[in-house]
Amino acid sequence: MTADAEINDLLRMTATGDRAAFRLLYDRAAPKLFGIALKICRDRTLAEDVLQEAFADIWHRASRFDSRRGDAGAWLAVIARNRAVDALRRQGRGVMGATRHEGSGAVEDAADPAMTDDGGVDYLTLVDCLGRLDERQRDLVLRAYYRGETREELARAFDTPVNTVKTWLRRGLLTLRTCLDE
Amino acid sequence: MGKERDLDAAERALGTLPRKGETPKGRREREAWEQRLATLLRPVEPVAPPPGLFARISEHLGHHETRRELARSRRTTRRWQGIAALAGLTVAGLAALLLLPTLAPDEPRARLIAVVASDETGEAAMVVTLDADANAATIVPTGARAPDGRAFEMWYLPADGSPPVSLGLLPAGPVAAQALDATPAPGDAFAISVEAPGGSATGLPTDARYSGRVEAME
Repeated sequence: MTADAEINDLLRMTATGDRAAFRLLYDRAAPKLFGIALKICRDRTLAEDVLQEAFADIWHRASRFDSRRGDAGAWLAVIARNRAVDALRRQGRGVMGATRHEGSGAVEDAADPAMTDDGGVDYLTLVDCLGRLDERQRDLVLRAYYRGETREELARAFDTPVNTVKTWLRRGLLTLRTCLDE
Repeated sequence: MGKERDLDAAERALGTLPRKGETPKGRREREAWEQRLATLLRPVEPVAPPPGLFARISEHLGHHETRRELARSRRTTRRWQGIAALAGLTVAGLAALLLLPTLAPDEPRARLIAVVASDETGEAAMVVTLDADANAATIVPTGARAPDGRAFEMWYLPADGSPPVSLGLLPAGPVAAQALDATPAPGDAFAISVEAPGGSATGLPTDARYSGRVEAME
């Protein structure tokens, strides 16, 4: 059984209130989700809180997962990512996001083919599609995604009016959508 | 789909637009974008979380103190005991010989076994082995498939007449150490029912098809 199918099954079992399945799901998925939380929070203590909140969400919301509308691994990853972004925003991110070119990492990671260790075709497609965005749009989308930066924060970081950020973001997302749907 | 509405959903997924006031349809659109964008998380390297974090999560969820809910129908239970009593165990010896050595050659030999077989045809659907005194089971599905669009759900049936306890959906592959809230003993039974894809909505088996009694192994 593939890792994805296993996570899918464990998630469905968790939805029935099966604690043993929940434990196994944690064993299988927590390292990945912790990696995501760490990448976004860049703080171990905060990432641990995020992981705890994410798994509480997973326990409570497992029955809402619908395998016809996406895969279980991505569903779990989104929960961790969103929780991490919420945690960062609650904390106030201080100097983070204040500079335009330093320490983004996100853009480089997303564009680095060596990172595609799972050989996902979708991932390569996404990287290809990101390549069609102009650099500014791509930076904005990725910083919003990996760092949870808001329009206002992005406007400050790029020294650009908020409305311009909105326009760039949307152009970027539209290009992405068109490319992904090809 | 309207372009602007779709871009609103995309921005809500990204987090650059608040979700407040989202319609159910808008939520589905946002979730579709979330799935799309989650591809960006694929290259993130896994990192082992600190030991003890799962215990924190369990405690946070109140799992250590919440007792199993037992508000279940006695009538159904009696029917189930009847079914369990009818289960044949003719394939037990064979299954034990064929399956156990490949399962866990280095672990102490399990003492209890239940072969959960079709009440109609005798075809086995899963083998459950248990160490005496342990409240964990090794579950080995043997390849029986649920009817299209349905799922198999596993149940533990205590001999004392208390209601069936769901063990979740039948896994596709062997599962070692599935935790049980009880210590099964000879006379208890395991069973499999046919359910809607997510499992029984009532907490009780809907359509019982397979069952097997716990027996001590020779």
